[in-house]
Amino acid sequence: MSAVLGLGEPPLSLADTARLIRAGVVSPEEVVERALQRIQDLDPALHAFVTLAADGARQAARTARDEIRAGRWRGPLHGIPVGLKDVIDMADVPTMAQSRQLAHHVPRQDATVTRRLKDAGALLAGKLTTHEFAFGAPSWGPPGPPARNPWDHARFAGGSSSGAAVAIASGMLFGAIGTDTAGSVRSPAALCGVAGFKPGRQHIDRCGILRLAGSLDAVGVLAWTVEDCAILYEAIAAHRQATGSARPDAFPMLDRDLRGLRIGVIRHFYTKDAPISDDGQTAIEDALEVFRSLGCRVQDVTLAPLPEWNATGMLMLLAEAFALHEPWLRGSDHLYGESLRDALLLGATITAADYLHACDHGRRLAATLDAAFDRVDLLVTAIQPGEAPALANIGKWSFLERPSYGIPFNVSDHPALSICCGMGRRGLPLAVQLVAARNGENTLLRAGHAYELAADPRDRRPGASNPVDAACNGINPA
Amino acid sequence: MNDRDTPAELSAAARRLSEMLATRGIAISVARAEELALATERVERMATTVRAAARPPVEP
Repeated sequence: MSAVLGLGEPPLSLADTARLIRAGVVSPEEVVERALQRIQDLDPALHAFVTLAADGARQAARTARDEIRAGRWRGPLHGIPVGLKDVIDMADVPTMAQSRQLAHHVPRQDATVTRRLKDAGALLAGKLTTHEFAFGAPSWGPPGPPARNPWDHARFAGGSSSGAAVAIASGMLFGAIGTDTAGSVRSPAALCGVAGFKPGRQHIDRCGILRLAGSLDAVGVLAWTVEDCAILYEAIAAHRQATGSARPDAFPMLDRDLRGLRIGVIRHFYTKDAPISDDGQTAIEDALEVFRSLGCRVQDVTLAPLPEWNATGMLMLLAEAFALHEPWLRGSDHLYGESLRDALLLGATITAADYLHACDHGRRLAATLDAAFDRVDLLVTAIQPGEAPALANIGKWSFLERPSYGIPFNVSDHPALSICCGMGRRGLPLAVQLVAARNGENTLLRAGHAYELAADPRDRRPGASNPVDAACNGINPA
Repeated sequence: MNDRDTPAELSAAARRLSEMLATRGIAISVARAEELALATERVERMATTVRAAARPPVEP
């Protein structure tokens, strides 16, 4: 077994681990055993997993070992442990969506993204905690408690792809697939200090994934770095050449040269419309300075006020989610947790005319964003109000209390990325959101990658404050 | 728009909500109806925002 990283050294990413597997320095079996050990050690406190698929992951690791030894390396996901938010089907493993409504639901087929991950040689280690049906507040009832933020277990991990962000931040997994209807990939990524990427909806097939609001739902990826997100995206994207790679079985070619890139800052979203914390604003300013140092040109951009975007998206979400769940609300509403059940009922109060106004207005807002991309290549704004709040303070109506910084780009369907850009006063991660033009996924990923190479503020995993934890951070070829 | 400031107004709003849901076959308790009636105020504000942005079928 290889030696491990010392205390305080940066953890290994998916990409670094893949290079070690490719070079034969470590085997998929070693990697999966390390992941399963870390899950056993940490998950009883963090609750990132709903269902662990250890046997299947071990079997897949043995297969990957044999294939790689025989010279049949499939690409950078070959032999890498990853997970699925528990709204994504994996054949013969329960999809429960954190709800008693689906207590006995065991799909017989893989979702398209699951199949693509398997085809790429990834090791599916299990299903990850979500908010019930990927909406509302953290779910406290069966089948399991909410995931805990690994930087501070009393803090909110974000939602609804909470288990995915927690599993990656804590080093239990190298990557995960989530869903994002109003920021549900980007927000937990932000609060847990990992990268969260939501491409445009048309780029990832949603077959085999539970819906929440079909007009807004997107599939996204979470990982420690943007390069890792690019690897995951490359594997599951419908067109398979998403990041400029010549071949889907190669490492993504993320050009680091950002000279001349025009960046627009939607500053009014986070300084005027819904102000974020002072340290959050400072961290975004620092990130903009990094982009300037990389040769980008930065200017402010004004869009419609954030509450207008939020109202538009939230009306669409509530109406569509209510329509989807109405049969169960009539017949078996006792099987929902209180938070989701009551959140869904709000959708019953939205008239057909108001829903259509929201859809129409969403298209107009999206057009204004398209027009903004005539002047800039990338937009920058906030994704969260600041560091993770206390989990105990997240009530069932929290999603109504302040506008979402994520939902505008679900309404518009532009690709968006959350990356860590600093640590706040409490030592918890802060994040910035980058947004690209339609089909600008590659621009977004290379900008995030270049930023991380220049100024990644993370030098450790959460909880890596003693040699035992630090030893689980990664694998060193030395 | 804030028609739920007094207990009587809240009670009336809750009754309307409860009756509307009942027409769809969804039964809720009085206590839940009052809590939901308060939350629907925020949804109504969102609807007002979106309605204000609505355009006529043909713009002059």
